[in-house]
Amino acid sequence: MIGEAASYYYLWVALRALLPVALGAFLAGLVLAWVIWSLGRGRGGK
Amino acid sequence: MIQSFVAAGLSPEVIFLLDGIDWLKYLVALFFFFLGLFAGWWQWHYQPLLAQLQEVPEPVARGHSEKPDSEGGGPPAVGDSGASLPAVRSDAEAAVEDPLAEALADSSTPEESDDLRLIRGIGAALEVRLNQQGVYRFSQIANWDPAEIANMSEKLHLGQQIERFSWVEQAKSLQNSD
Repeated sequence: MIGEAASYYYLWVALRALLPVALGAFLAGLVLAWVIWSLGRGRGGK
Repeated sequence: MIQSFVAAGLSPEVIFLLDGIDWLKYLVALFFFFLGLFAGWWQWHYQPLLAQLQEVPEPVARGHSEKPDSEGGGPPAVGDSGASLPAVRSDAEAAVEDPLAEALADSSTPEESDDLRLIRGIGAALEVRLNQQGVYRFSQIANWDPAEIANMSEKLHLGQQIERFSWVEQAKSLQNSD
């Protein structure tokens, strides 16, 4: 029981460390997609 | 991990660099980066395209679509033996019900017309529907005021597409380039 709780704690610690990375990478991808889209739009693409 | 790098015959400098990378974070970041890229593509490229492709003219409401039931339980007409016969429709009625026939009938191109598909956000289907509304020229779109834009958006179920793609500005520049 205690071991199980500890494993959940470590999972939470790992998640907490990875969340900012995941969020940052997701936003970076989103921004890049928008930049590509807007450049294509500027060139007259539909 | 380091043992596998050594076994792979990598130089100590490269091993030092590789060992410094937090691989889990790197892989998570890579995954979410591509997820973000995909989400952006979906949001800005694919979904508007899909929305444009799925735009279909709504069926024209028929004035007398419902067949009147036997009124007052009167005597059945001659030949009405109770069997459900297919309803016979006049050609005019059939034409009104068929969106394609209606589009072909209404979108007869006048002598002077522009290729409205040059405007970003207008595809083949939308061009036909604009023609149905009597819009054939860039000059017509270029002269739209906000009220007319709202009217067209409502008629063609376009939402904010006209403003989002700046149809009026595009039409003005296309009109001037002619």
